[in-house]
Amino acid sequence: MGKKFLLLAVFAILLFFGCSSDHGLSPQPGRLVVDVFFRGTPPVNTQGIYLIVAPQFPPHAINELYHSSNSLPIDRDSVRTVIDLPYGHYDAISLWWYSKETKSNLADILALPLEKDSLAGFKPVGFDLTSNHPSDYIKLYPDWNKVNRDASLEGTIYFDGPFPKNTLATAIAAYSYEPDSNLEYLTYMRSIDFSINENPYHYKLPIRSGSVNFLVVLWLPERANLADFARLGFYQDPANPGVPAKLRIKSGETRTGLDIHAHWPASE
Amino acid sequence: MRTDCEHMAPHRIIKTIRWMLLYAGLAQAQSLITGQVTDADTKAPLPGVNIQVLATLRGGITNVDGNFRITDVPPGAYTIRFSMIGYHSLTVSQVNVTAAPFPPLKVALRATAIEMDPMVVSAGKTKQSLDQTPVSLSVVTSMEIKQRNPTNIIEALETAPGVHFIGNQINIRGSTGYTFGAGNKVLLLLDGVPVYASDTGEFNWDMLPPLDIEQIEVLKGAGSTLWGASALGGVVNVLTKDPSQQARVLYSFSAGKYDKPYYDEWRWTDPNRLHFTREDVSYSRRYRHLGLRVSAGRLMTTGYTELGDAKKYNLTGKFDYQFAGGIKWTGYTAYSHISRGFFVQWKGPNDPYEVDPANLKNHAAVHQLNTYTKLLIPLSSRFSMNLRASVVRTLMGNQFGEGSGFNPAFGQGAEAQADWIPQEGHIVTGGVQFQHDAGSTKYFGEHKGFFIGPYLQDEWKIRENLRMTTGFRYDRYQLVGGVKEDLFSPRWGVNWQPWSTTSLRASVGSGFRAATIVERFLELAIMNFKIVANPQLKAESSWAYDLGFRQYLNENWNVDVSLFDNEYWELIEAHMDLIRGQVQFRNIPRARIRGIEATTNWSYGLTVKNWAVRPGLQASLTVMDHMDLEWREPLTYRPKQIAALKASLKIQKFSAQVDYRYASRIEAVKIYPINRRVPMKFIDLRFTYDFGFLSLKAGISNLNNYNYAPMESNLMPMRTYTVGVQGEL
Repeated sequence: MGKKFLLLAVFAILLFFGCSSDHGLSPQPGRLVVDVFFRGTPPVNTQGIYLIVAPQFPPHAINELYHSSNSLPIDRDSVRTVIDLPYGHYDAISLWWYSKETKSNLADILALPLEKDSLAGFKPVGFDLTSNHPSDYIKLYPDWNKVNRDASLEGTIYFDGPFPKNTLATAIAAYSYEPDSNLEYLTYMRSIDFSINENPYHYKLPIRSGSVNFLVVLWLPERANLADFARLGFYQDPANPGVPAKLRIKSGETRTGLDIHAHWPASE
Repeated sequence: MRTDCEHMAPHRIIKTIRWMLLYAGLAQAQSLITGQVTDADTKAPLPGVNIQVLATLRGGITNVDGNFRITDVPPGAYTIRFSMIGYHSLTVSQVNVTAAPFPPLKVALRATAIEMDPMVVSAGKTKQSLDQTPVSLSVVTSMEIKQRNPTNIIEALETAPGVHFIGNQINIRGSTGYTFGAGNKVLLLLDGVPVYASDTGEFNWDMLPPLDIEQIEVLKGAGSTLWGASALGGVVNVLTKDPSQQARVLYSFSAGKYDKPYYDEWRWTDPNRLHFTREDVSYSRRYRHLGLRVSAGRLMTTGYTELGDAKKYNLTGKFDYQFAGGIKWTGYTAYSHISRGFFVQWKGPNDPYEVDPANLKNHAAVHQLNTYTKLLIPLSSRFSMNLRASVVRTLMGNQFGEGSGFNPAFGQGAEAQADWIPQEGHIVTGGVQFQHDAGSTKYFGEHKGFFIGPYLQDEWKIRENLRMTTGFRYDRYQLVGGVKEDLFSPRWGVNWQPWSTTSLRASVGSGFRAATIVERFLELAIMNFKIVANPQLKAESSWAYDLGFRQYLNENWNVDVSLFDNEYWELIEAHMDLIRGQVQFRNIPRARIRGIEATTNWSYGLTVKNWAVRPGLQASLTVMDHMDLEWREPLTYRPKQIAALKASLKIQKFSAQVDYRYASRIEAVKIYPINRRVPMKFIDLRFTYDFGFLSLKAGISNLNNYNYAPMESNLMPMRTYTVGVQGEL
């Protein structure tokens, strides 16, 4: 009687739980196949490049992005890589470059395919993965020259007071064009350095030779979106105060004396 | 050449102290209590029964014939408590002790599947019945440990009410979260002595074999008043077995095999090669006044992931010597060596058991030595001294494929404690504790810090059924060449038993923890992450409020419910700098964890066709609300509900157990919030057959092959089959 009861009890437990269909985490069902065709040669200070997929762009934070777990090979002309993803809509796909001396992860977007949007100007190319369309394919054409910094900008930033307590990051950034929207703060960025932590702060920003039409001090409060930059000040044309200076930087040049006066937001 | 001091044996020094106290009038005319304890059903004598003369500092233990002798008890009427693992405790009231010899006591204990009211020491640093403590406390007995057949302390603790592990980090009611292996908000004690690594503040859960554990006590809420630094969110006190009266060899062997992953695409190797074995052997005996217990253990595992392999060895020795007059010296040493792969995160969600090929060289080695020595000097039935000294030496190395950049971390502790019964109904515990921690590596430089803290507590038995505890502690923490912090930790608690079946308790107490050397100074780059130092970290502190009741519905069934509110200041948590991709430990100015915890224990003994049948059930549910009060968002790496259900059935020599462990989905994490998270749902099955002096064991862990990651990119083991044998000679 006892044995029967025990066997029945154990069998019932095994049947109940063993047949449960809930097995917790499962493999990612979607897949993006990416062919990468490089142009130029990688800078010697390259630590690695990572494939980044953003469900939302601009992202709120860098840890809300899917990324390849390791660097793509950088010693080839082209490479095919695959990233496994959950089903859903993705706003953007990009390749991020990490320097051996990188202090921020935002600086160096090596490739970000854009498409024309009738309302918002250019916007990143997105894609959808569904049970009917579990896999997608995209080609990327990164140009190593974009991160091959052969010149630099140097100057001192003077703040009009102490850093606010809710400071997440303060940066000096160079742009080809003056950004007009949150999206453009990321898409037009040529170089950025988030090291600013004292007043006054002497900066030296590595940059690819060419035009810099907007050199600006940016500030992010804690919990802000990644592209919600507040402008604290920009480098002004000495001949025309109040207007952004347009700089033409030659290869190997270090342009000095680019001092900026930065003003904290009034509410802070 | 020997000096005069060397001629003066310890017992002579103690004798001198005793004479001094006698002259001071503290000693009194003393008597002797003797008796025998037997099993109520089989009438067999019971060795190893704990006997406590309540309201005194006297107690004893039965010998192989079940006999006991308690000396130096002043004449009077006493209540005596008898307790033993696997039996219902028994309290005998109104035992009249006289100067003249009186008849031996005859006591019979009844067997039970679940101990309802064990004796505990963590609530007040003196022995108390669990029903009479003013704080919430859970106990894992050696009987449960034997049934679970764990390979380490984590497996012994994982179904304790309110306890949840995130990786190797213990959470008591959500106390710790996950701090990446640096800084635990729970204090781990080995026989009442702190045993954390001096640099990381973490524990080596493999430092002693489960065979050696007598009982594990889990004190919930802040406990710094008695236990000092690090007891911010609770205390785990692992009590080891004393040497046995007669020669005893304990042997345990278990082997396990990991099943294949639930999803075929997750296979990364031949599943048949993934296994582990654990062997432990322990020898114990007493030679007149000298007792010894030595044990050795070995765990070899391939692990269930890449870099999951490990070899762990441990060697422990516990010695005691009984001097005349009840004076007892205890020495304990545990050495463990671990060599293992270092799995930091999976390669990807579709390769969860693999690591990035670039990280395949990540291996770690840890050598740890824990040693303590204690001297108990019962100067009279009303006054005793406890002196303790301890050393924890931890050497880590070879992490992350680099050469060893570590030097040993050293922690030295000393404590003097006095227990005094100044008058009927009061037990005063006071003392002073000192702890010095030092660590140095190339990753954080060389740093030293120390605590010194006097404490005082009075447990006042106002009436037979009403007890009040009041105490405080003051600590000075000094980081050598750095910050200096003063911390004051008061405590108050009350326990009222309006009826014999009901126990009400309320307590308020505070706790604190200074940042560990690693939290303050570590600078390290691991793969994509950089850890940045924060020398300005402040000590974290807490106030814990606890209100609970325990109700016996009958002698085999009780229910315990408690409401708790833990308020934190300057809580130290890992902070992810989302711009720079850096991790830094920072203070959260205010945080709160509050909730309700309910447990029930039921066991029943019956006879079916001359078969002794004992079903048992233990269930617990902890519901928490945790919040960062500055940002009004949940604290990271903490579930909101934890539950455990343990059902057991013992028929004659056969027993079966089913455990169900549940934790709700963790709401917030630091590194990859975008990754999918699921609740924890584990079912474990175990079977035991007692065959003479052997117990044969078989089990299945994670029966449902459930895939759960408590922190990002780290999957818990898949279904695992185990077999084992435990023997006692």
